[in-house]
Amino acid sequence: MASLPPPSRKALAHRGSASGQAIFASLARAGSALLALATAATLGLLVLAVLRGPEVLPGLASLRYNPGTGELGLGGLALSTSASLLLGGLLATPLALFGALWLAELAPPSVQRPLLALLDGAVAVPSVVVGLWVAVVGGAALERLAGPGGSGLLSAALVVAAMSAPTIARVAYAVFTAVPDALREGAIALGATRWEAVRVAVLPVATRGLVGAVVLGLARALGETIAISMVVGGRPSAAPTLRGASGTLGSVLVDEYLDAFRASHLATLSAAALVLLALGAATHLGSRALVRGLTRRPA
Amino acid sequence: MRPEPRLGRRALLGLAALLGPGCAAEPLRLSGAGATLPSLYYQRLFAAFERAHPGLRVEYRAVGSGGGIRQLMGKTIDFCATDLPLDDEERALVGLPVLELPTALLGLGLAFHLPGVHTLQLSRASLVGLFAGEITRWDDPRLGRENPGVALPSLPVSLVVRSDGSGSTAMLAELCATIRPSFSSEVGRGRVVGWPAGVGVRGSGAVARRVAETPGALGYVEALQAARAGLALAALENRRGELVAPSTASIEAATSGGQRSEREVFDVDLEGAYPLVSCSFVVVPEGQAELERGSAVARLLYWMLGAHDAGAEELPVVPLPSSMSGRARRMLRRLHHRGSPLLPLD
Amino acid sequence: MTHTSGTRRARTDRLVSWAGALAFAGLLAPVLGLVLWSLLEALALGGFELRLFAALVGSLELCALALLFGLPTGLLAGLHVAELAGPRVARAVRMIADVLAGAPPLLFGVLVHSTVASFTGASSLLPSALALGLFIAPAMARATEELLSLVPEGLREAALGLGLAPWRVVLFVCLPSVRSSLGGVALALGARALGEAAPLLFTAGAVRGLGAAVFGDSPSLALGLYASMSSADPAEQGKAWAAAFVLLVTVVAASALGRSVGERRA
Repeated sequence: MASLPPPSRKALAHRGSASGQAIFASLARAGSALLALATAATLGLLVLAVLRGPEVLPGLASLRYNPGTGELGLGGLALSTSASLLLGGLLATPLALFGALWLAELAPPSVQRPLLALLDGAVAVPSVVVGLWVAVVGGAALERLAGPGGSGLLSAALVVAAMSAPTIARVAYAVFTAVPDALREGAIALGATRWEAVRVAVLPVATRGLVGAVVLGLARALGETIAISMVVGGRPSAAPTLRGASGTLGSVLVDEYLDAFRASHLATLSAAALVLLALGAATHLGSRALVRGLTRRPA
Repeated sequence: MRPEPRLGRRALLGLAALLGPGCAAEPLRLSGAGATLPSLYYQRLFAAFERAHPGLRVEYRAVGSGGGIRQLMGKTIDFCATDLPLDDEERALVGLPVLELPTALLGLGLAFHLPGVHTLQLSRASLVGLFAGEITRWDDPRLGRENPGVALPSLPVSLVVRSDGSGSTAMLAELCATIRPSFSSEVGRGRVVGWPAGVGVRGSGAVARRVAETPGALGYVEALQAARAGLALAALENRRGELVAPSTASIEAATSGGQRSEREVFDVDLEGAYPLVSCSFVVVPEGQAELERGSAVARLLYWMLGAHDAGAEELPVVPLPSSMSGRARRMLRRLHHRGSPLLPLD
Repeated sequence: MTHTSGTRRARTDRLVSWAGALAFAGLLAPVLGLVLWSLLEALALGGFELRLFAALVGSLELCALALLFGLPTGLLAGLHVAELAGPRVARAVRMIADVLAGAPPLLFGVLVHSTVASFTGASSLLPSALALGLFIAPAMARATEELLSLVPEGLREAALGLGLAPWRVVLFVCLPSVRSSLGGVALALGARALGEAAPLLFTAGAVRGLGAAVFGDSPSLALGLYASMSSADPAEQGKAWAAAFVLLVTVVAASALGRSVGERRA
């Protein structure tokens, strides 16, 4: 798709055909239109499903979720979703930022390229595999700590951490390498060690981009619904606690959407999907705005 | 089970369709969706039906009973399959007169994992107590009284429940609500309920796995398959007060030799009948809009109800007693296209 | 600066270096651990079978079809934003692409399931590929746009100066100048799509494990893995681990390759 022939003599010969430009423009417009259509269709579908069961709207913020008794509040699920995100982010951020800092600033140049390739591989690790691993290994460990059922939220936080750390590190690396060399060289010329140069000259410039990296990593983890549903314990009716099984906005979608048929149930699940969509869009747009202009290449 | 048409074959088919009739007769495709539990049984039946009827194809998507109902509501499929009879609300949702044809019997078993314990008997009260989260340890005196001579270990009860919407959940919650009416307002009823304790996993295979891995576990899975997989199943107190273990015989006993209506096999007051029994149903609109498609549907269902498929012993279903499937076949007379029946009246 | 403080500073520098290397190792350890763990589990449970590689081929087929949907759409949208659209339209499309890129991939499954999948019968290949294509397109659009913005203005102007039509400049001058980077992005996106199972959950319906139906209702290794891992049968679990290993190696290799392809600037 991407590799088109280099400018050929033939191409140069047919210069300036208006119809070519028109075809090109309408094709390109069609590409954008398709994206817009997909967005509109997703939004429209979910909003329509919510409107088909408007009676659930008043109770949507309540903490109780149990379709079996008709309690359809998403508050508790939203709480556990954000708790697992924050906890996972707290676990991942120091490791990811420090690791990226080392790779970009302190690592021997000869290992940088291969390690960067490995980091790129880590970004693409499928979430089902992470979920499988956390379910088997982490789940067993947590069960020993927190009793039978383990802790759904801690396991979910582990998945969030594992999914977001490589992304955070990858974007942070791009942010670090975008800092002009002149800043480092200036500090080193003044007698600073490499670490001091990073601390004094690089970090202050990179802070905004690093925040963006963390937000982007969390946006990625927010989308990994399936891995979280594998470990969170599958009991969304439970109050959000650190002990025992629980559920998140994404896990109820994974578990219940396909089989739901009552308008109220579908409306609630669609509302959960809308919340996830809004959160995902907000974090993604936010991180884009934070990183904008800081990285030289798209991360 | 049927292999996905490979891309190449797909392209060839498309090409054949473009070249017009004469090249390849496009088979009539019937589509259904719904229950997961009997899907293996259905896939096998449909494959046999396709072999016997070369011009017809049957596609079945195991999306869960609820998903099947949703697709039938959207009129995108010819039939849906459910694990339980439709309730009034579901009938209202489907919105048109439908036939509910029983296809097989299902038994739901309570699988337990207690080291050194191979038989467990549960009264109706303790069954609810366990799933309402009131009995939390296996050495609870209530369980001890019901299981004399069995050394119940000092382990916490780890409930293993379904996290996805499931007919099994609906069945167990229904039994609990029959025994204790307040159960439905506290825990709920239907395909997703808020179990007060335990861990939820997706699919019956995952329940079986977790029960097998966790000492102290108690979960609900299709009975016959679980027994074949080596899980220990509890004997339950039926409506008569008898303690009955799930088996082909005790599941068939709930139909009283096929004399009972297929809607009334759950928790029956019959001797030796296991309480957690239900029928799998195929749900199909009575009025068929297209003649050719409608008669193909009628042929399929008539064939299914007469197919006493050998090899069912390894499937998670019990074939219907013949009197029951005969009744279901007679129900098919109600299938019609603009008022005229699609099957000859025999 | 005294001599002692100098050595202390040098020691701090070394310490930070080592700690950073450790942090980076901690970052990669889960991946390497996963590869090793899944390999060992799969070997222990006897999960490696020829069928697995057949499933991988099916998965690659699905992925290729998804790329076929997603890449041109994304590429065209990116070209539109970068070369044709006015600032307001460009901002809008950019935002749409970001919203889509931030959406949980599961939602694409919801979308396709509720619209297209009802009409395609029991076959899951086409809807699944569409859903994955929706996952690929927005990221491709953003990458295309950003790569095009890196094309030196001089190159563009020189080509226009030769009298080439603007669309020819874009197609035959600008795009080729970033084609290896675009290829790298495409490869990385393909790798992500290969491992993505969430949207397929809805487009493929309930899927039995890898052992039950490799060519049947499970065209995706990732989804088959998900189904197999919840099986009670140890053989099936072995297949899940083996699938995890194959998937990990393929995905990590593809994205690492994507990086090196992307680096080799034309």
